[in-house]
Amino acid sequence: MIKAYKISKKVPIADTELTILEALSLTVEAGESLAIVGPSGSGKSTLLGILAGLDLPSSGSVHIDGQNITAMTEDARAEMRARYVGFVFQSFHLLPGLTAQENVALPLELRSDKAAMDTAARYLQRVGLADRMTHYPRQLSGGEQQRVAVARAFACQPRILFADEPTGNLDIVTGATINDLLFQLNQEEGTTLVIVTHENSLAARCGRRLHLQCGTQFTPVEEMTVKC
Amino acid sequence: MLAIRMLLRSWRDEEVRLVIAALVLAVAVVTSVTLLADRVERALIAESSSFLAADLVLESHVPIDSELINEAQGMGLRTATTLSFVSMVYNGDRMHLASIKAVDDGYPLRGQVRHADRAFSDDPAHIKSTNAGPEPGVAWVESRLLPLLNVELGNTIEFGESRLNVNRILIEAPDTGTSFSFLGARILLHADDLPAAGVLVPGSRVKYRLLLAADGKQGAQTLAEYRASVQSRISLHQRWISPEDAQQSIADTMQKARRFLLLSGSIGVILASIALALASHSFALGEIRQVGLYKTWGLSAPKIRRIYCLYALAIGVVGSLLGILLGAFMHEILLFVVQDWLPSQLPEAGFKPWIIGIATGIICLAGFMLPSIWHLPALPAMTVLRKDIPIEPVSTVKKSAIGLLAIAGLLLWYSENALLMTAMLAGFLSTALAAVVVGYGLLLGVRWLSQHLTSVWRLALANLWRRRLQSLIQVLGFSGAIALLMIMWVLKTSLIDEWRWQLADDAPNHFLVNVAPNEVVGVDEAMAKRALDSSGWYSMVRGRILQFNEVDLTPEQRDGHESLRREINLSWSKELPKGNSLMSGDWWPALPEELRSQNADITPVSIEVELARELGLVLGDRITFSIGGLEFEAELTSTRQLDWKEMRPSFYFLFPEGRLEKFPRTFMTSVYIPSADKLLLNDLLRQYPTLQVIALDKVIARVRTIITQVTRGLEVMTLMILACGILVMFAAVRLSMSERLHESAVLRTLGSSRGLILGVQLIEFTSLGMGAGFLSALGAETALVVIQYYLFDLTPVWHLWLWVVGPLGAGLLVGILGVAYSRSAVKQSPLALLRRL
Ligand SMILES: Nc1ncnc2c1ncn2[C@@H]1O[C@H](COP(=O)(O)OP(=O)(O)OP(=O)(O)O)[C@@H](O)[C@H]1O
Ligand SMILES: [Mg+2]
Repeated sequence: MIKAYKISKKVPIADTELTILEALSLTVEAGESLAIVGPSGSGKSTLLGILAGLDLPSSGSVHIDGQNITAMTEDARAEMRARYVGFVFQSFHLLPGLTAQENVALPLELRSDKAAMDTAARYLQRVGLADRMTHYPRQLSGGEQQRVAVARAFACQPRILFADEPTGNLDIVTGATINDLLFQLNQEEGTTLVIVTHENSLAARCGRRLHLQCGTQFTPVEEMTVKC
Repeated sequence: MLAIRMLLRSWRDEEVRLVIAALVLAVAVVTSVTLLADRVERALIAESSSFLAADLVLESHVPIDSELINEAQGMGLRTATTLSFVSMVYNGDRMHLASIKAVDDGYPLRGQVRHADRAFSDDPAHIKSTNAGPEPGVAWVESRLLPLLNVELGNTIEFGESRLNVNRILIEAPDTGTSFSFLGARILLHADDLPAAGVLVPGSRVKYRLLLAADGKQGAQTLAEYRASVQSRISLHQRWISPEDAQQSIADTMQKARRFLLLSGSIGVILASIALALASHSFALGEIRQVGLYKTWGLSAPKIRRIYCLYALAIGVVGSLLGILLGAFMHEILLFVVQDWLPSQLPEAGFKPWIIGIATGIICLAGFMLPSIWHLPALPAMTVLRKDIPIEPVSTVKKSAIGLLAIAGLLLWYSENALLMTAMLAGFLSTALAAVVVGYGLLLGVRWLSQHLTSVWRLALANLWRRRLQSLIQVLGFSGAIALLMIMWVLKTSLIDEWRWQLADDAPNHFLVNVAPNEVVGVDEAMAKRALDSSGWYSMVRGRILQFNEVDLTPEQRDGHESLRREINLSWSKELPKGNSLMSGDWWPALPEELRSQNADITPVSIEVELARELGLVLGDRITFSIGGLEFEAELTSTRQLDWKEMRPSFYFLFPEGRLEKFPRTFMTSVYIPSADKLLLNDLLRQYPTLQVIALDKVIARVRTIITQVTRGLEVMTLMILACGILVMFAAVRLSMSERLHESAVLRTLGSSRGLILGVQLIEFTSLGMGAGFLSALGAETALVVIQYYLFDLTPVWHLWLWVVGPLGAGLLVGILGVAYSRSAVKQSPLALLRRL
């Protein structure tokens, strides 16, 4: 599903360059779940962004479903994201001015999906928020907000779901329900999961775990498939 | 569709509401004034037909061919004919040379005749307006004829061979000028009475008029066709008079008025634009995450741009529509406020005001909102994953340039004058710059203060300094609006009241003219009996102009100007009279010896500047006068401007002392006659039939209402502008809202009480308001000095109360508004606050 070949990311700071990632290669199979773990500042978010086509590596290439997204124009990459990718974020990123249902429906509406509101209602039901549809994010707890975000991500039926510390802002119990939800939907929809997390319990549930060392190292925790 | 749905949803966003509010206000200010100007202009143009009593007039010195009349009627035009001439009217041994107008049944085609059933009365209860003149056998006469002929209403007077019953007092006919002419008393009668009276003989000087009016849509065209078809048969003694001449000058005046209104309204537009830019800026900040989401959902940059452009367009359309609605409502209020001064029935406005309103909205949006959101589509998608992604909005310099361009474009459009636009822009910019400098100084003072204070005060004042850019913008926007309010207020209460006071109460409202030397004492006694004070007696001589530069005046020249046709008043004075100012040339003492000498053949003369221009006279021109058959020559040595506000006798022609004294002279004075004493005029005219009265009381009353109403109208406008200023404040507070929320949450988790936080906010906003009040007092005082000195020639006075009321009032207002607006920052629990961040 995803193939990254020798990707590096360097950013200019002051008059030198900071190397965040160097010559990383990795493969994620369709339907697989992968956890990316590592200390803060080790480049997890950067890697996730590059794999999802939100950002470009300084060198190397990323293929999604056999297509080289690093060689595409930005607009073509946007098209790829629309077809393959869904996201769940640590800080939920719900729009405060929209109700739960409107939040879920928005990406569908942007694709001119006529049934957007109905689909949104269905997915909110699946995450257990059928009775909170007209509530605004500020009227929801953190866990409930993240459930809305999960519903929003799955409503678009992505082939790959990227999650950047989806439970980072939640307590352990609430976090666990979100995790359950992610894996349950992953199973039902056959989605490929790439999750950045600090949490061992979440990492443990994934099919594979990759440990990203500060700087450039990629160290295996269990079944390492990629190294620098 | 999506854009509209987005708009409907984002209506819940404070920023979007602010953007729309700013847009609505800008559009409303502009729409209301243009609507008002447009409708008044249309009304005046419609009324100008009634000044002629027709849509088109053919004036002739020979009787008008009945063929011309038949032809007009054949084409569907309405017609009427009038004859004007002077003729003697008698009652026993009393007689008067009256100005007669004989009219037929059709008269007047446009406008109305106003007449009363009581002499010397201006009580509306006695006055009636009708669409017809007198029937045969009766005469409607001016009040002053009654004492002159010693008759009462209902008596008859002799007119040639016939007798006419005087049954109404003529107040005003649509096609006669003002009532203060030196001609005889006016009489309106029916043309059928002319043959029996036999007053018209071959050779009588009669002015014939054929009045024409056309109704319906094709009217103007029919008139034009008629005019073209008879043009070849019009003789040298006949000429067309159309309302266009009058309309042209109305259009010119209205153009100026509209420009003035729009340009003062543009202050509101500028303030609203600042609010718009600020609100758009906060809006764009809030949209960053949204754009990141769009990108992760696979929307390309062009698509995102399209979404935002459509969104902005939707905001523009909704804002402009709401704006013109509010504008229409505000213009009704303006109309209500100035109603006494306007014609009672105003025609509907054309489409132009609406277009100006909507275009203003779109231009404001393009100039102030688009630049703020322009960078959004180009934001990197990674903003959703990392907070420290640098964002590159359109640079402030570029934004300011675009904003200035938009304002400049609007000003140019409103004023249709590049110079005026540049001047206004320069004015705004330099005022803003000065305000920034002073405001920055104030902020420095505040910082210094904050270092010497404790607790709440320290916190609050330090906040002002920390957010200094924002504070400056708030102070600027707000003080601009308040300064304007102050200027209006002072202008109204001091200057205009001062001027009104000059006219009021004991300001002369009547001129008594043509008083013979032996009558002066008698008139003085009559006035003293009623305890009236005159402004003293001025002597004058009546004469005619015969030649310019030793060439006889042609009949065309005489027809061209009133003062070449009849006798004019000549007077003399050693000093330049009070209220007169020399425009060109020199006053007597500075003239060369050969002109000053009492024995010189040529005497110097000084003429009112406008009149000299109209007569085509320049310094050094020779004018030959005739006084009672004696001719003498004068040279134009100076021109003067007269000050009509003074309401004292002023003379168009002034000579040095010692030149005119040998001619028979008459006297004139001005006096204030209260309504209750108006019968004095009756007595005076009965006793001294040659005395003439010029009544200005109605004119003065009209001037007074105009001034009152104009100021009231301007007050309404200033309030609209103040609303724009308040909006700037809200938008600026909004910019700092998340920061304020954060601070308040942190302060409260650290154990500060709600009271403390409220106190900080109150002090912050109140100080801000006081600063703005101080700045506006400074600005208003400066502007007032300029206005007093240059516009009204008054010695500038300080308005101490501005410096007290300004800061206190503004402090109170801004303090209350600011705290009310940001109170949510303290009302919520710290946890809820932190969670929202
Ligand atoms: N555009 C950039 N400019 C400068 N530095 C960057 C940029 N992008 C990433 N970095 C730096 O690279 C390092 C990795 O960042 P990244 O956000 O990927 O870490 P992370 O593993 O997600 O950390 P965390 O667990 O705290 O989220 C950080 O030190 C960050 O400051
Ligand atoms: Mg991260």
